[in-house]
Amino acid sequence: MFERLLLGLMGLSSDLIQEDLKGRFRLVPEYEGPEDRVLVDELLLLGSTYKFLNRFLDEVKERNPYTLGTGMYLSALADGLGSILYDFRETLATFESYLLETPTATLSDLRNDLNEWFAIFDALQARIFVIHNEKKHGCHLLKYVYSETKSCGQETVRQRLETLFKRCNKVLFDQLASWLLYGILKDPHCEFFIRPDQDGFGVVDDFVPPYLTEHASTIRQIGCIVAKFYEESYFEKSIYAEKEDEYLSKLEAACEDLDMLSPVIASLSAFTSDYLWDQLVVQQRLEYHLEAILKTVFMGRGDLILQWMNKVQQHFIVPFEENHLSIASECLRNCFYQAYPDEDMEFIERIRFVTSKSDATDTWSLLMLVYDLPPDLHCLLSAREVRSLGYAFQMLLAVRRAELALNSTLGSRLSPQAMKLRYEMEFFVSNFESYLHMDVLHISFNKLRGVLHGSRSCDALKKALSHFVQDVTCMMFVSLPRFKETLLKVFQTCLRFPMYINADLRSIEQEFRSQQDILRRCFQVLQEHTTSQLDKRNECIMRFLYRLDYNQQYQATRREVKAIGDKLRGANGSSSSSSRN
Amino acid sequence: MSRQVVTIQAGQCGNQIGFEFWKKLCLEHGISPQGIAINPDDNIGDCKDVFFYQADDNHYIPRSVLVDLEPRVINTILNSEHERLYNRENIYVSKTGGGAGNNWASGYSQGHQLRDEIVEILERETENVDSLDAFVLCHSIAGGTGSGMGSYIIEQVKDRFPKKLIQTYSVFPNQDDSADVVVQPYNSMLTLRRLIEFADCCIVLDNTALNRIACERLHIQNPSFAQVNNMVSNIMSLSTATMRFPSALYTDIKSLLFPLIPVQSLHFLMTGFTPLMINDQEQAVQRTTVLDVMRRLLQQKNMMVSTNFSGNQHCYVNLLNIIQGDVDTSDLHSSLTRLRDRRYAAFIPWAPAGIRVCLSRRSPYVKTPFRVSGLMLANHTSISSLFSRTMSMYDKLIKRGAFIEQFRKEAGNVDVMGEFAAAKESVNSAIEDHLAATKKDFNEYYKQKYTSKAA
Repeated sequence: MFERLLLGLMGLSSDLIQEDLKGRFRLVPEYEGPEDRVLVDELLLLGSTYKFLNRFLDEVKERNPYTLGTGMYLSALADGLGSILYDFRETLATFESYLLETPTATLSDLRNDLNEWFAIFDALQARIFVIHNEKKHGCHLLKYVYSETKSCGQETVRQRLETLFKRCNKVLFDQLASWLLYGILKDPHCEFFIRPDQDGFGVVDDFVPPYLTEHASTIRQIGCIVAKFYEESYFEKSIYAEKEDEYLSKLEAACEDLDMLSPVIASLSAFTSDYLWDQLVVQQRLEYHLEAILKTVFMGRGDLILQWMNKVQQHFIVPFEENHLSIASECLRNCFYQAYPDEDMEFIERIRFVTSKSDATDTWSLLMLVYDLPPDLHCLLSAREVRSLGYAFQMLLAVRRAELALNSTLGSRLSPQAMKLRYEMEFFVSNFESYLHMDVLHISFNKLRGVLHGSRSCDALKKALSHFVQDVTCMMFVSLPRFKETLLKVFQTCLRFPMYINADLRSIEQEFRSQQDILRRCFQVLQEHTTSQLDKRNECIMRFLYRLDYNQQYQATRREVKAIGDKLRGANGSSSSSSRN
Repeated sequence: MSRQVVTIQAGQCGNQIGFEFWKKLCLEHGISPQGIAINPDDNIGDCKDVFFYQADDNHYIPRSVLVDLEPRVINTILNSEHERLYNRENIYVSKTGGGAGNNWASGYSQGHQLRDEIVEILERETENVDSLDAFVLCHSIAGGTGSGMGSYIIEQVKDRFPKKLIQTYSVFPNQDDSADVVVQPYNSMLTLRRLIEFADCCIVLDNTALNRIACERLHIQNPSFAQVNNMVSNIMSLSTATMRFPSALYTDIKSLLFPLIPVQSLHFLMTGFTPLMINDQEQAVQRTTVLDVMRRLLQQKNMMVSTNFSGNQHCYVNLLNIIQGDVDTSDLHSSLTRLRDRRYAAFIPWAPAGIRVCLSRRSPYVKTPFRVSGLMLANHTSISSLFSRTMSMYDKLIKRGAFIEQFRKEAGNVDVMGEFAAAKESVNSAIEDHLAATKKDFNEYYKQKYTSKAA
C-alpha cells in the first residue's frame, strides 16, 4: 500500500490509486485495507498537485524555445519549480528509507513528514495557475513572483516562492550585467524592461520590477552610454576597463542582496556620466563648438559678419537662387580665413546656409545659418535644436542689415525730418540689437558656461542646453510668429529708408510709426499674460521696453501716432510737409 | 579686414596726444615700438587693421598722417624708440619750420599753400584702404597749427571725401588762465565753426577739466602735459576698443558713435572715465562693480569737460557707456534700473534716449588692477556752456579790436572779419540748438530753423 501511495504522491496512478474525473488521485473504492481512507485521500491531494506542477514543468521544457510564450524567465521559473519538486521527492525518499527500516511506520508519520507541503503545493499551484493562465512573461513574471513572495506570510511557503524569485532574478541580473557593462541587450524574447525603440532605447514601465523603479531610467542611460562607446571601440574593451570585473562582482553580490543595488547603480552611473562628460565635453570640445555657434550663428564676430555682408551683397541683388547658399558659406569662410589665418578653423567648416520656409524671394530674408555639431554631440543638443537657432540668426541678420542701411546714410546731407526719423529708427534698431546680444545672448551664454564649468553632469548640461535654446528662441521672439513678423517688417522699413531720404518721407514715416504702434500693442498683450511659463518672456520684454523707454519717450510717442495718422489723412495730396504733434 | 579709419594729427597738441594714442595701441595689440608683432603666434582675436596696415615685411604701420608746421614735437617722436613705427611719407613738417605762431589765420593759410602736398598724402593713404569709414583728426582748437591747419584739413577732407565721416578728438584750451595764448578765443571760435559745420562727431577733451581732474582726483600738484595726455590716450583707446577688439556689436565707428547724435548740430560728445589712472602712478584700488562704474560715470566730477550740468535745465541727449572688464551682464539691467529710479541722469524730452551700454574686451597685454572700468561718451546739452564761455572771451577781445591786425597779416586771401562773423553766427546757432534741445518743442524749432535755412 505504502509503495502505491508514494507513487501516487509523485503523480503516478496504480491499481489502487486512480485519477477521478476531476483529475484528483483517489484510493479505488474496491480497496479494503485497514488504512484510514480519508487520510490517504488527503495525502493524495499532494499527488494531484505534484502532477499538475510537473506537467507544467514538462510543458515548459518541451516548448520550442523560439515560440512565443517561452523565455528565460519562464525557464528559470521552471528550474526553480523543478528544484522544489526535487525537494519534495527527497522528502518522500527519506520517508521510504525510514519505512524500510521501520516496519511500524504509519500513515500519520507520513502525513507528519509531508505536513508543510500542503501549504507549499497549494500556494505554488495557485501561482502557477495564474502564470499559466495569464501567460505571464519576462520581467512581468518576475514582478509577479516578487510581489507574491513579499506578500506571503507563511515562512515555509515564502521560502519556496523565494527560490522561484531568485531563479528569475538571476536572469534579470544576467541581463542587467550585460546591459550595464557592455551595453548589450541580451533579450531574445522581449523580456527585459529596456527595449529598443525609435529613439534608441526605452523603459517599458509595466516590466520594471518594484526594486528597480527608481533606477530604471538611470539604468537605461548607463547602458545607452556604454552601448554607444562600446560599439565605437569595436569590442576591444568595455569603457570600464580594469574596473569591469569589480563591477561584475558587485552586481553579482547585489543579485543576492538587493539592498546593495542602489550603491552599484549609483557608482556605475557616476562612472559612465563622468566618462561621457570626458568624451563629449572634453574630447569632442563642446565648449569650442558652443563658442563657434556664438561666433557664427549669433554673429559674435561682428566685424567679420559685416565684412561678409558687404561681400555677398552683390550676389544677392537677384532673387534667390540655389547657388546663393554656397556663395554665402564660401564667402563667410573666406572672411574668417583671411582675418584669422592662424586660428583653429575647424568650426568654420561646420557652418552651412539653408533657407527657411517662407514666401519671400529675396535671399537675405531666406538665409539661415546652421552650425553642424559633431554627430556625437547630438545626444546633448539635437540637430533640430541646433537648426532652430538658425531662426535667431535670421533675426540678427535682419537687425544688422537695418542698422547697416541706416548707417549708410551717414555722411549724406539729410533734411531735419529725415535725420530725426533716422535717429528714431536707429534708436529702435540699435536698442533691439543690444537687447539681443546683451540681454539675451550674453546672459544665456553665461548661464550655460556656468553649467559647463560647474558640475560634470551630462544630464544637467543637456537640460541647460535645451533651456538655452528655448530661452534664446523665446527671448528673441522668433518663437512668436506674429511678433516676429512685425519686427521683421520694422526692419524692412528701415532698410528702405535710404531710398526715401531725398523724397517724400511721409509714407515711410507713417509706416514706421504704425509698425511701432503694433509692436507696442503686442508688447502690451504679451505683458498682460502673466501665466508662469510666460514669465521669462515677460521679463525680457520688460527689459527691452526698458531700454526703449528709458526717458519715457516711447510711451509718449504712442499718443502721437494717432495724431500724425489723422494729420496725414487730412493733408493728403497737399504739398505742404506734415508736421508731428 | 574691418572698417578702417585714417587718423590725422595736426599741430603740437594733436601730435602729442596722437603719439600717446599710438603708444597705447601698440601696447594693447602687442606691437613693438618698431611695429613688429611681439607675440605673432598669439591669437587674441583683435583687429589690428582698423588702425594699422602691414608693410611688405609684415611690420605694422599706423594708418596715420602727421602734420605740423614746426618740427619740435615731430622730432621728439622721431627721436623716440617709436621712430620707425610711422610711415615717413606720412609725416609732413613745414619746410620753413616757423610754425603758425599760435595764429589760426597763419595755420589756415599755410594749409592752403601746402594743400597739394597734404591732399596727396591723404589720397595716397586712403587709396590702400578697402573700406574706409572715417577720418579721425586729433588737434587742439586753441593754438595755430591744430586749429588753423586743422580747420583747413577738415574742409579739404569734407570736400574730397564727402561720403566719409569726420570724427575729431578736439582739445579745448584751459580757460582759467587765458594768458597761455592771448588769441586763443579767436582761434577757438574759428575752429569751432569748422567743427560745427563740417565734422560729423567731435569728442571734446577739455584741458580745464583734465587739469582739474589731475589735481583734484589724482592729486598731482602740477600735472605735466605727458600726464594729461596719458589720460587722453586712455579715453581714445577705450573709445576705439570695440573696433579693435571686436565682438558682436559696435565693431565700426558708425554704429558706435552715431546713434548718439539725433540731429546734425548736436554732435559734440563729452567723456567721462573711471577709475581714473595714469601710467605708473600708484593709487588705491577702488571696488569696482558695474553699478559703481556706471554711477561714477554719471558724476560731473569725473567728466572730462568742465561744464555746469545743472544750469539751464541741461540734460543728456543720449549717452553710451563702454564697459571693460569682468562684467556680469545680468547686473547691467539692475544697474540701469537703479540709475533710472534714482534719476541720476535727465534726458531730452523730445526723442527717445537712454543709457546704451556696450561691453568691450580688454587687451590681454595690458594689466589693470581694476575689475571693471568704463568710459562714458555723452551727448549733453551743457557742452554749449563751453561754447558760450569761448564766445564771451572772444567778444571781450574783439570789442577792443585786439590782435586783429596780426590775423589780417597772416590771413592772405582770407577775409578775417568775414570769418569772424561767420564763426560767431555758427557758434551762436550751435549754442541755441543745444539750449533748444532741453525743451519739449525742439522738433518744431529744429525743423523750422533748418528747413527755412535750406530753402
